[in-house]
Amino acid sequence: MRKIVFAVLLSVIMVSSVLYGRTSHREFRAMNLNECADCHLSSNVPPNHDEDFLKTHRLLAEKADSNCKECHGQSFCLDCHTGGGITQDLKKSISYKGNYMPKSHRSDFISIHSIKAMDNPQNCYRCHESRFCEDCHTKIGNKGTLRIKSHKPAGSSQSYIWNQEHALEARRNLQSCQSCHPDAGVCVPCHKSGGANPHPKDWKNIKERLLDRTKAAYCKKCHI
Amino acid sequence: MAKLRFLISLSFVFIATVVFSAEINFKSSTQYLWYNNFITRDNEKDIAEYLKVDVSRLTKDDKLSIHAYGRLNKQLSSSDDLDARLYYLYLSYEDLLNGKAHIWLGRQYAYSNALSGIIDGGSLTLTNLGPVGFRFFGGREVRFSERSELGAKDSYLWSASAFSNFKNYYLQLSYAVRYDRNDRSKEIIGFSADGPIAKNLSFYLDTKYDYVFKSTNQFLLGLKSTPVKDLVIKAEYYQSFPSFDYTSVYSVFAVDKYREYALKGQYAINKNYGVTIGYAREDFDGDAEADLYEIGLRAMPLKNLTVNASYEKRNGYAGKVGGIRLDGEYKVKNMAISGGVDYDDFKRAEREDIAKRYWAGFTYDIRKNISLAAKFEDNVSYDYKNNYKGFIALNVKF
Repeated sequence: MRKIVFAVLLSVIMVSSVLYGRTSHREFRAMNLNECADCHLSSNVPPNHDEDFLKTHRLLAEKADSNCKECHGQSFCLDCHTGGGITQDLKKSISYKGNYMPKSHRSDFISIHSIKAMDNPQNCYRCHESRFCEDCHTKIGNKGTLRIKSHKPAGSSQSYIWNQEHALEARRNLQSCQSCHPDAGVCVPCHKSGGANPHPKDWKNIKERLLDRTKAAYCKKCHI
Repeated sequence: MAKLRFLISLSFVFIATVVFSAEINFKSSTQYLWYNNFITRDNEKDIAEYLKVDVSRLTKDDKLSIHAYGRLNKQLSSSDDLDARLYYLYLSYEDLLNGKAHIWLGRQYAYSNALSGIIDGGSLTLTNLGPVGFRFFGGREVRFSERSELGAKDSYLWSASAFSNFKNYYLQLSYAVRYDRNDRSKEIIGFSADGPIAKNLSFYLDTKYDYVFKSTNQFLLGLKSTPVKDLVIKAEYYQSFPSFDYTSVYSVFAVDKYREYALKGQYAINKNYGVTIGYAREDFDGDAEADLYEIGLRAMPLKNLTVNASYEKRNGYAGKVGGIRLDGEYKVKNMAISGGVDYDDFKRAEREDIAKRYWAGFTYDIRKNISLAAKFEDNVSYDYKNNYKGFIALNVKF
């Protein structure tokens, strides 16, 4: 694989010949965003800070030679991504721990987060680690109130309906399982060696690479 | 430890400023916040001090600078200790070797199209070398808890990128590795590209390939068109699957792909009015799907008045949301008064309710470099009849 990476790198060098001279935007840093349209839209060069920018800014920011720093300090990034607030944006709300939340966290976000988190499930993990979910979900006393389909109480008993539904839910959004079951202890009784195989199709190949990179102490959870 | 690091860092910045007779710019924000902790059901009150320092002109050519940003906060409503976060403190040396090298040393937010994070380490960007540029970063990864900083020992992140900006085409290839307690917990190859395809039509591509799982865990391909002046249309395909650190037991489980097909449009009616519209089809594999519709309006009906309104409707797997957001800002001399309402009618598995947020606030420039800001907010939901929160901030620049 490293050979492929090297080959592609070399191709990049061969194909390219001259670095493109991009317009410096440093002198425009004090302008209001709606003034950008004066140059951009009228010349059919769409401004990159468009109405969709909250979702798409990542593509520009992760460029190695991004020119974000011509107008923004790193505090501008970190105030959203890590809950800081030296520059107050009144549209942002405050979390239950006293951090500022990005504008995407609308209304009472706790109420709707389980739905909004499904609009691209990877979005949450750009800022939050799984520990963030565990902080709440492992502390909620009555987990039945989470209303996960496969966790419905069976009648008035203490047992739960545990059927094929849980496999579908887990495969679609396994990260949400981790929110309440960080060590997957609840999975082991059924999925341990000899039980229902939880591994992906090409597990043999993946397993070798995983073992090569980690101590994989968790294997012993199921394979005693 | 985090507090000590914060104080040592500030001292270092001050000493550097004095020794080199440099130019220093401070920005301070002293804040009083109130909010509710829905787990403990406590009403919390915090006092927070944010401080950002930029030191420049350390050398005659002004290529060397220092940048720092951190936060101290104390929960007044509990006996918890003072918490501290040092977001960054780095020394920047730009345009070395005739503008070819740029070095940042210290704590910084380091990024690539493979992996990103806050590191205690260094980054080097090489540009103007000819056809291609390079960027490298590496160091101990810094992780924050909700209020402070975690002592993330033995957690490291490094990345190497090659990029080319040829005419209007951009290409970037990155390889990044994250270590957790000396095990490799992520190994990602990132590739992104963008550029024109035809007149008024361009593309963008962003992929993250997991080297251990031999699969693309994120893929985005988009087309962006400006068919007529002031109209932008985007079509996107995105796919991803849940991805875990290799050190997590969850990494051994089979997972399904998420796919999204989106179409978005935005039209600037004139400088003061713009509309957006969007649709996304979300596919969670099997028969689980959802539709997401969005429409928005940005308006400046008066010179000093800005209004934003949007409506979103999502229906399908995991639940329904129909929501309106409305906010506005009016500027009068040294003051800007703002307010807004969020209203979300939602239905998730066996729970149906309305979540609302009402807020009002202002910013007031007392002097050119001193300002006051305040926000008052009420959240109404199934969890709280009234969840009041807000802040008052005194901002000083010098």
